[in-house]
Amino acid sequence: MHIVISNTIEAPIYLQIVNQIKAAVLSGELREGEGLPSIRGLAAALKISVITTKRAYEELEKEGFIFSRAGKGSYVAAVSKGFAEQSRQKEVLEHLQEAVRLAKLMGVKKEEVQALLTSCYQEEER
Amino acid sequence: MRDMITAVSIKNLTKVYNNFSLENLQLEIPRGYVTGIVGRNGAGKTTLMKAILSMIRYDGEISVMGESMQEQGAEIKQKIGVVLDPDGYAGDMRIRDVGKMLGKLYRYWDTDTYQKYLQTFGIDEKKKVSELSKGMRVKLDLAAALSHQADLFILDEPTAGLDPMVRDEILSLFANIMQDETKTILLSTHITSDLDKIADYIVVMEDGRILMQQARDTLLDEYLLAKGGEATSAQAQKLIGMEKGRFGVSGLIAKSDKPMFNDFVTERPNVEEIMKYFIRREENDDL
Repeated sequence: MHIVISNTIEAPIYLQIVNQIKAAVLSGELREGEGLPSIRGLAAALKISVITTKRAYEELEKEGFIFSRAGKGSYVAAVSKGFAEQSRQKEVLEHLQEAVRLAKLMGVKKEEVQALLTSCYQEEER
Repeated sequence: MRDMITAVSIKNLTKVYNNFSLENLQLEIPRGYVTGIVGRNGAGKTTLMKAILSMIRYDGEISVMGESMQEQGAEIKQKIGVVLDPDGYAGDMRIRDVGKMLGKLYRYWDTDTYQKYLQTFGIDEKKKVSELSKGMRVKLDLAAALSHQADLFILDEPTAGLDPMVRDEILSLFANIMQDETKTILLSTHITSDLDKIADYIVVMEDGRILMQQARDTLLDEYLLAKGGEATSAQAQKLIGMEKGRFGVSGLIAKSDKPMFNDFVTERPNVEEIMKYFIRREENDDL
């Protein structure tokens, strides 16, 4: 698994870690029961604050992606297919909502947005 | 910062010089974390560190790991690794003899570790202290600080005068120390990019006072740097440390105020910018 941190984008660093570990779990790259690096180990490897990695793990635990055993470390939790599907959709949905918000703000019509989406897929498939 | 074990506790610290003073300073440094003190030259960073180490007289109370420095100072200092005064050793001493001297001073001195760090840092043991460049002296002090099983590291400008590659090496070293949650690092710097990487907590000092102490993450996540052409009076009130230039204004804003600044560009600030605008707010207030 790779974790890439940017200091210049507005998203907080803990969230960047959360999203990348989530993506790795959802894509199956990280498997159920697999051990994650320790909070301090990850901080040292990324050369970032311990507080940042701690917060990232707390967030992942809260959302059910990982679980911790006191004194042992953190592990990838069992993520059901339905849940994985939902989470994947949620991510995409959030971006679409943002696009719709922007379209309204700039007066781009619903039909135009739909056409744009279709052409995005055509671009990708080429 | 509740629920935390305190590594250094400073209460009512007062030190008055002719042209500068620390007045009634309160500070708690949490154990298991890196705390970075930033501020301009002359803000009082070094004076604060010297007070913690009982190198100057002061009024107030300082305790380290729960023990009073006034009462247990000599004993506690066995467990403190220090980088402070780059001219600490006599110039004609050889590096090897510095190690021997420190071996007598520190109960837990480890010659092998010392020699390993000298090698890592490329310092020749046969050389005299006076033959070392400023950067090399800092490294010598670091090697010493790391070689007697210290629990607390007090490091004044530990990366000053070092090139970016070596700075990065040293930051990795600190990151490794912090894998052990019983260790604490207190470092001062005016090169704040170092802190952008590893500090857990930031303390901003200015003119002998502490302007702010915050988790670095909280700082970086709660504020935005906003730049725009002109600020309305409502916006001007929300801009922390507002700076007016020829072509526009800039300042820090709380993230929650972002909707008020739709006509501004906003970006994630770094520690240096946060320090700058908070100090400027003080100056603006003084006008």
